[in-house]
Amino acid sequence: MTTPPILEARSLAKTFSSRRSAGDVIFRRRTEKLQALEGVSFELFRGESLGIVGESGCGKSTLARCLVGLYPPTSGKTFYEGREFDEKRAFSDRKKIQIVFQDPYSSLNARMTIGQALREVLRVHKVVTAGQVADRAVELLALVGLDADIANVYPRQLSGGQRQRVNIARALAVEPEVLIADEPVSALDVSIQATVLNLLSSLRDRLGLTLLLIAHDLSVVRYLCDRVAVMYMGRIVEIAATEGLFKDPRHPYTQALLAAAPSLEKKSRDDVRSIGGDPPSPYDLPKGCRFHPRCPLATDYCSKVDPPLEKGPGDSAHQAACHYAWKPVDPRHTPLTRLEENLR
Amino acid sequence: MTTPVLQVRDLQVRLSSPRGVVHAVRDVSFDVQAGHTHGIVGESGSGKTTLLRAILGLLPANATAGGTISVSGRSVPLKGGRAKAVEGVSIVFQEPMTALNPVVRVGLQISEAPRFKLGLGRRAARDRALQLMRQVGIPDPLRRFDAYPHELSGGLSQRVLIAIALSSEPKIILCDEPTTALDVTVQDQILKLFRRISEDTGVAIVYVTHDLAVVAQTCRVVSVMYAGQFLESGSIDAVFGRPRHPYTLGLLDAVPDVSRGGTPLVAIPGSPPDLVSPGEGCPFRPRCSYAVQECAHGMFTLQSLNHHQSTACIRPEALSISAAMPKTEVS
Repeated sequence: MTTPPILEARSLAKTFSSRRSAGDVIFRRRTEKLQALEGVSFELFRGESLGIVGESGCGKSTLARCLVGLYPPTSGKTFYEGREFDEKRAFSDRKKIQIVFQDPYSSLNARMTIGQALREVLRVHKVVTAGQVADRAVELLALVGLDADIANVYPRQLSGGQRQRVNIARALAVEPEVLIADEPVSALDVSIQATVLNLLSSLRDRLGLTLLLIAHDLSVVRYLCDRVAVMYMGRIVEIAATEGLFKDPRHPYTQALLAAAPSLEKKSRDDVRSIGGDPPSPYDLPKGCRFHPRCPLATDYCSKVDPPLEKGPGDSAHQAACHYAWKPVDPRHTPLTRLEENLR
Repeated sequence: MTTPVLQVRDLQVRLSSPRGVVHAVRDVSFDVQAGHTHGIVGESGSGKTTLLRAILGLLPANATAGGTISVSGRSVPLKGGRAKAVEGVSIVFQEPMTALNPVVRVGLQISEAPRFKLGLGRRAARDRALQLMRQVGIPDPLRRFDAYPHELSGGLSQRVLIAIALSSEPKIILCDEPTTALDVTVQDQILKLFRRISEDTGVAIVYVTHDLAVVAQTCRVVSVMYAGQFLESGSIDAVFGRPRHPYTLGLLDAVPDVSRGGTPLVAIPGSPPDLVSPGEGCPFRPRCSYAVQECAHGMFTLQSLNHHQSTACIRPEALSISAAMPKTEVS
C-alpha cells in the first residue's frame, strides 16, 4: 500500500461571475463569467515542496485560496490524506493547511501588537492551555528568528522582512501540516528576500512541513522547490521535478517563460526570441489550447483541440499539456499563420 | 572623447521631514554618454527615485540640493518645488496603469508633446504619434490611437508611456523600475525595446531598478546605490563578475538566479540604515563582515580601481581573498 498524498486536488475549477447591476438583471444581460481555474489536478506528498509559477492572472492565488478553504471551488474535490474535505471545512481540518500572504504590510492587524495577534490564534484554536499561551507565542517568535520583545510592538514598527516572519509564525501557530506561501518574498527588498527564503527552507527541514510555494519568480521556485507546476490561464500546463523542468521544459509556454526570465548568467539574449502578445482576456479564452495564439508551434489542430496534461514516455513524473510535448508535430497539422502582432 | 549627455557631480539631496532631515542622496557623481544605458541598482529607500527626480529637475518642495547636474552641457536647476521638467529629459514610471491619464485617448497623450513642445500642427503631431506608436511596437496603431488607457494591457500601456517619453525627442530617458509591474514574458519584450531604442535613436538611458538580473540584461554600466550613496560603479562584467564592494557581493549571493539551482543563498544580516541620522563612516559598515576600525570614520566616496570599476570600499583587496561572503547562519 502506498501512502496517499497529504493533499490532492482533483479537477478543481473556480468561476467568478461579474457583479450584476440592476440594469443587467432588468435587461437580462448575460453574466460574464471569469474562469479562474479549470481542471486543476495535482498531488502533494508529505515533506515535499511544490512550486506553482505563472504570470499574473493565471489562477495561482485562486488555487491557493481554494486549497486553504477561503474560496469554495465551483467544482472539483480536495482530499487530505485520502479523505475528502467537506464543502464547509470542519474546524479541525482548517488547522491542517495554513497560508502566508504576499503583502506583509496589509496582512497583520495594525491595531494589535504582534503578541496579541499570535495569542489570539493560539486561544481560538486551543492549541495550548490558557496558561501556556504567552510562552508559546514567544516560542513561535523564536522559531522564526525574532526576539521575544517583538511581541510588544505594533506591525508598523517592523520592517517588511520582520512582518513576513510574524506572518509565518502566525501560520505555524496552529501546527499545520501544509504551509502555503503565496508570493512570500515578492514584496520584500532583495537583501531581505534571502532571509525569508532560507527561513522557509529551514522550517521545512526542521518541522517536516509540506510546502506549496506560489511565485511568479522562477528563480525563487528553483531555489526552494522539489517539483514545479507551471500555470497558464487557469490550468496547469506542465508539472515536473524542478531540475527536469528547468533543464528540459516540454511545453512551449514553459520554454518561453524560462527564456524570458532575466538572469545574471545568460548574456546577450537577442538570439532568444521572446513570445509576443499578451495573455488573453480571462473572460474570453481562446478555443482549443489556451496558449495557441501566442505559441510558436501552434497548428490548426491546437486551435481546435485542447491538449490534456500527458505523462512523458520515460519519466512518469513529468507531465505537459501540449500536443507536441512528447512527439513531433504531426505533418497533417498545418502551422497557423498568425497576425504580425503575435510574432514580434 | 565626446562630452557626456548627462553629468552629475557631487549631488546631495536632503529632504526635510517631520522626523528630521533625510539625507536621500549623498555625493553622487556619474556620467552617461549618448546611446549608453546606465543601470542603478538599489533597494527601496536607497535614494534611487530622489536621484531621478533631481535629474528631471522636479525635486519636491521640501528638498534642498547641492552639487551640479548638467544635461548636454546645460545645468539643471536644483531648486525644490518646481513645476516644469528639464528640457531633453523624459521619464518612464513603474506603474503604467496609473501614469496615464485615464480620460484622454492614448493617441492624444502621445501627440501632446510634439504639438505643444515641438510646435507641430495637429495633423503632423498625429502622424508623429502614429510613427512613435509603430516605433515602440504597438500593433495596429491606427486603432489604438483612439483607445483609452483602460482598454490596453499592462505591456501596451508601458509601450504607450515609452512612446510619450520619446515624443519630446529627449536626450535622456529616465526609467524608474519600468518593468517591475509587468509579467516576465512582457518584461522581456520591453527590455528588448529599450535596447533597440537606444541603438536606433542614440538616446541615453538611466535605468533604475532593484533587480540585478534586469540590469545585467539591459545596461553596459551599473552603479550600486545604498543609503543614498554609490558604493560601487563600473562595467557590468566587472561589477557582477568581480565585485569589489562587500554590499555588491552580498547582493549577488542573496539573490536566487534562474540559471543557478541549488547554491545556497546567503542573506545579508541586518537592514538598511535610517537616512535621518546616517552618521559617519561607511554606511554599510554595520552589516559588513569585512568591516574594520577604519570603516567607522571619514567619508566613503567612489575611488577608481581601474578603467572599468570604482568602489567606495577602503579594503577591496580583502574581498578577493575569500570568494564569497562568510556564511552567516539564518534561523
